[in-house]
Amino acid sequence: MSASTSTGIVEIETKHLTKKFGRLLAVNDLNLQIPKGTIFGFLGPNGSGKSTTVKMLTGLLTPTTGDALITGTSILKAPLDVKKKIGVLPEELALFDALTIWEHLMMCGPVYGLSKKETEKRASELLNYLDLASGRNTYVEQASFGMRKKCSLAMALLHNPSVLFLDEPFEGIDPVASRNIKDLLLLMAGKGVTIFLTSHILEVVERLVTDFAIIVAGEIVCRQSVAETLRSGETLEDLFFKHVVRGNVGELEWIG
Amino acid sequence: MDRVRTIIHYEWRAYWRRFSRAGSRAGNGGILLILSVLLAIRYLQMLLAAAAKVADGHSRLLVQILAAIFLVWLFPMVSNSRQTLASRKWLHLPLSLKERFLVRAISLLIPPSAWLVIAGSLAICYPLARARNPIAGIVAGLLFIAMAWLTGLTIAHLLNYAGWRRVFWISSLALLAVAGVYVIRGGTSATLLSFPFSPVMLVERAAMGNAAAGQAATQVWVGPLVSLTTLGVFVVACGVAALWSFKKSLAAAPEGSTRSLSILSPQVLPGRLGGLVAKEFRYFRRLLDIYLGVGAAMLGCLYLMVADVGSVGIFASFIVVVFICNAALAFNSFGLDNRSGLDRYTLLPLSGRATLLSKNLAYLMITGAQILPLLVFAGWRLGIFASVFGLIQAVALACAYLSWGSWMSVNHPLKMQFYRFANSGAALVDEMGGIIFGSLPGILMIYLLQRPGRGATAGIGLILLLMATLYFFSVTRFGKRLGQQRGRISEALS
Repeated sequence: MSASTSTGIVEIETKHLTKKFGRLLAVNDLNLQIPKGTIFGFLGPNGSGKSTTVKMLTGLLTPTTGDALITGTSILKAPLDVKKKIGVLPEELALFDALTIWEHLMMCGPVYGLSKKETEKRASELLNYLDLASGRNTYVEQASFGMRKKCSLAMALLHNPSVLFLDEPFEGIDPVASRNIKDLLLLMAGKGVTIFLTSHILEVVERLVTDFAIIVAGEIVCRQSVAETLRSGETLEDLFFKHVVRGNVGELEWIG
Repeated sequence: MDRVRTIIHYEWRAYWRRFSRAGSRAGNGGILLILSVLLAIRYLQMLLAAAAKVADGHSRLLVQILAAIFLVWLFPMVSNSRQTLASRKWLHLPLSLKERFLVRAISLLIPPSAWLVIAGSLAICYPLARARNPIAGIVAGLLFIAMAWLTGLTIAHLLNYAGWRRVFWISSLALLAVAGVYVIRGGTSATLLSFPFSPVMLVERAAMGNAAAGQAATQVWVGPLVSLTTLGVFVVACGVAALWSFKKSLAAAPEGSTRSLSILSPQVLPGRLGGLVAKEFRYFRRLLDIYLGVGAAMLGCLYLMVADVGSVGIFASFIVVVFICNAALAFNSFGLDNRSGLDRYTLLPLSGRATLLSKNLAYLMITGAQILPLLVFAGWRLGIFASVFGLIQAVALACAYLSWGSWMSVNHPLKMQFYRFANSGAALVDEMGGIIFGSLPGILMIYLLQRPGRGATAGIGLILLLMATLYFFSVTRFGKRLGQQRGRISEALS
């Protein structure tokens, strides 16, 4: 059973989640509670631990210590049960080069218990919505980055998951598809699907997410709602650069 | 040349770094060395024998060794699994076509297996030096090696294109059928190679000459010179073809796959694992090794059709050979995947055992399709008993190969590439061990078949039961290990 907070049922909960790669502490003692129906933005610079966190939450990486509960189920104790409930758009897209976009969807559907007919129906509708119908017979290795990303996103959505993990969903996506994805995510959240997304595009995040956290060097440095941020008179970008150190362009005198 | 040298330097460094990352196989190193030394000794013995025969004016062994060298040269080229800097991905680098071609051609010679091929090929100069025309013979031998190298390169480039692949398959199968019928009808392999303009015969003629008694010295040189000139023309033609095919491979993205008949490209098969099995089937059928299995099965069918009195033992041996040809599919079932694909297996709500099972089912579809015609022909020519025996033997062989394969696929994954032969790499010893282990039930069954009686039937049943049990334990155990080893497998395949 999922835990409850004052804001409702907690769908994603991390308990002292930590990941070390040798001496490198990629994620340190992460404690998060994300209520059902939330669109949660997980922000941070490159190498801050965002993707590592997503990988731990989706079973792609085993935490060094700590645990994560997805809809009340431990990813460590019952990984297959968790995987049945979640949809994932991973950082590296997790696609097979020599399959077409359509073949990817047809491969995945039955694994989640969908019939061939239902898989075909959902796959067609998703590809139409994501403007990928004309490219359905394109081999992934020949597809553009945007097409590959849409394919991976369609695979994440195919089985109608109750929790969605999206690692950089808007990177490399054209504006029309980007708007479509935003509309879809809002619709899903409205229906109670919890969405955990990472992104570098702060303007999009600001308009889409309800809650967010900023992670720097593996630790959460800020956790609040977008409404709180806006009430304080700041933009998300202002808040982000409060916590993240920028390089000095003046040091590159030789360029230009 | 400096730029080419720099790139080759880094290709070299990257190769050895990948080699060391693939995991230490120190335990294999000693055995591999012993095997290499044994092979080298055997090869040297053959060269010495060929040299002695050449000195006596007999060239049959020399011709056979030359033919083997030509075939062996195809393997480092066609089995190379790494993209070099010369590939399309790196077209933005300021390199000319010739520089790219040089990088491509030389980088294929970086693996130690290619050095062995080079050393073994150059060693042919020894028997050629004992021939009647040593200088012409050695020059012809070197031209022949260059021709084999360039032919291998051309084929490797063209295999990226569906149309050319079809041409190769059809011509290879046709040649195999003709050669098979010829040999089964009592012809010899030596006479097969002896048509006048075969490169092998050109080398032989350049080395041995065809001096008749009373000919002037200038006349004696005419034959070798004609052979050398013809070989020279062949080398130039092969060079042009290699450069053309390379340019073609740079000009357009190679096709990811062939648009095949739907029966060869199923979208989805019944059951929860149906989609994955269909995916694995489509992947496996793009590995060249399986076409060796098709060839072996075809020869078996030819044998059953043509032989006056067929033997169940020989038919059963063909089944063993078919499994040997498909060994790479069983032993390296993740070899065609990449890091991204492995992530997908992890994201899907499937246990490691189910993942292995989907690969094994695809393997059974491939081997089953090869064995089926053999079983049908055996039923027709040798009777239903032979057919049933073949089926039981095939099941036992599949269980044995997949039991070993589950262990190897999880513990010793190696990168393979579509439309290439599987690269054995450092796991050669494990593969050989697997082939011996996997073939053993089939060989034992053939042995028991020669001793009819209740004991033989019980023995065959026992072997089948043992192999099925072993397979069950293997797929369960290594399915569990798959989750733990995923990082290592990704590393080996990246």
